[in-house]
Amino acid sequence: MAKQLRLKLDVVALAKKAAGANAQKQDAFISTMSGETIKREFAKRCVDFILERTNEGKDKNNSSFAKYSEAYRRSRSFQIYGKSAGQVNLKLTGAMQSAVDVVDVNSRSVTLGFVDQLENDKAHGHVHGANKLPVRDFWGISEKEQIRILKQTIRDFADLEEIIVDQDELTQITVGEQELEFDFEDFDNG
Amino acid sequence: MAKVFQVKVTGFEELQKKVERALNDTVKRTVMLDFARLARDIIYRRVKSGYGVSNLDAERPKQARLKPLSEQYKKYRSGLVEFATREGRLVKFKLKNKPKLGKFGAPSISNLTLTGQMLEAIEIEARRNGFQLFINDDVREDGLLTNAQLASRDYVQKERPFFALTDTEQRILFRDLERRLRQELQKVLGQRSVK
Repeated sequence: MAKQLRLKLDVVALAKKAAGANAQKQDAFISTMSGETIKREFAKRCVDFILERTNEGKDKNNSSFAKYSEAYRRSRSFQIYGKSAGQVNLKLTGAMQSAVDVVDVNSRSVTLGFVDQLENDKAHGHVHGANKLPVRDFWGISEKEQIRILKQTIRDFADLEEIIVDQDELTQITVGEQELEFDFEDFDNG
Repeated sequence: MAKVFQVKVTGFEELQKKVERALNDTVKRTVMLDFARLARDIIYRRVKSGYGVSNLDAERPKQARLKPLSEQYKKYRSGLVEFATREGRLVKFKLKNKPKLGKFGAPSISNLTLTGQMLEAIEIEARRNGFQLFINDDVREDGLLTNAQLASRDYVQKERPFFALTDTEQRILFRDLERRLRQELQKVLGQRSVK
C-alpha cells in the first residue's frame, strides 16, 4: 500500500494573497471563502484544473509527460481503449482520475486526495515512478493557478451557496438486470 | 479615504433562472446520450479486456475477471476439435471452417468474444434524467438465439456476469456529470453582473 497522496491548500493564505495589500479586501475575501460550500467549490475546480492539464499531457510543471513504452503501446489494453501513442494522459479506464476528489475541508484549508486506495497507489506510481514506470508527476498545482482559481470562484460564487447546495441533490443509480438504468437524479455520491 | 471592497450580486432571480436552465440543459436527453455512449464503451472495453462483474444483483458490484475458457473450448476457437471415443481413443482434427473470432477475440482469452455479435449488440436509449443500456433482441447469424437471450442469466451471464456498472464505473460517470455541471455553471455565472 503506497503512501496517501494529499494536496493541502491553505485557503486563508491564498485569499490574503489574492486580495493584495488592501486589508479590507483581504477581510472580504477571507470572509467570502469562509463557507464550506465555496471552499469545496474552489477545491473541486482545482481538481478539474489538475485533471484537464493531465489530459493535455502536461505534468505539474507544465512539461510534457514521458512517452509510453513500446511494450505498452503494443499491449491489448492500449488497443482496446483506443489510445494513441502521442496522447500520454495517464488515462486508460478513467478510474484513477475519477478517484481524485476533495477529501477534507476545514476552517482554514481544503485537501485534495484519492477516494480509493488502489487508485491512490496507481497515482503514487506515476508521481514517484515505480519499477519500469517513469516519473509522470501530475499531482500538483502552482500557487499562481490556485490564486487565479480562487479569484474566479469568489467572482462566480459569492452569495450563491443556495444554488450550489441544490447541485448535490442530483444523484443515484439503479442497476437493473438485463436493462441498466442510470438515473442521475437520485444518484448518491457516497 | 480607504477604498471599501464589497462583492455585490445583482439580478439574483434572473441568475437563478439561468442556473436552473443550465442544469436542465446539462441533464437533457442529448447530453444523456453522451453518458449512455460512455457507459456502453465502459462495459464493452472492460469485457474485451477480460473482466466482468462480481454480482449482477449488487447495487455497486466490483470488477471481477471473467471465468477462464475450458481447454477444449480454447482448442475449438483455434480451429481444433478433440474428443475421446467410447473406447477411449483420442480423436483430433482440424475444422474446415475455423471460427472467425470477433474484434479483440483470441483463442485463449476469455472476453465473451467468439463472433463478437453479442457485445456489438449493446444499445443505448437516453431518458430525461438518465439512460438505459440493453442488448438488442435480434436473432444472431446462426439463427439459434437472439443476442439478448444469449446474454441472459440462462446462458452467458450464468457463469460470466458482465452487464452491470461497477462501483468504480458509476463513479466515473458521476464525476463526468459533476464536471459538466460545474462547467455549465461557470459559463452562466461568468455572465452575471458583479460590482
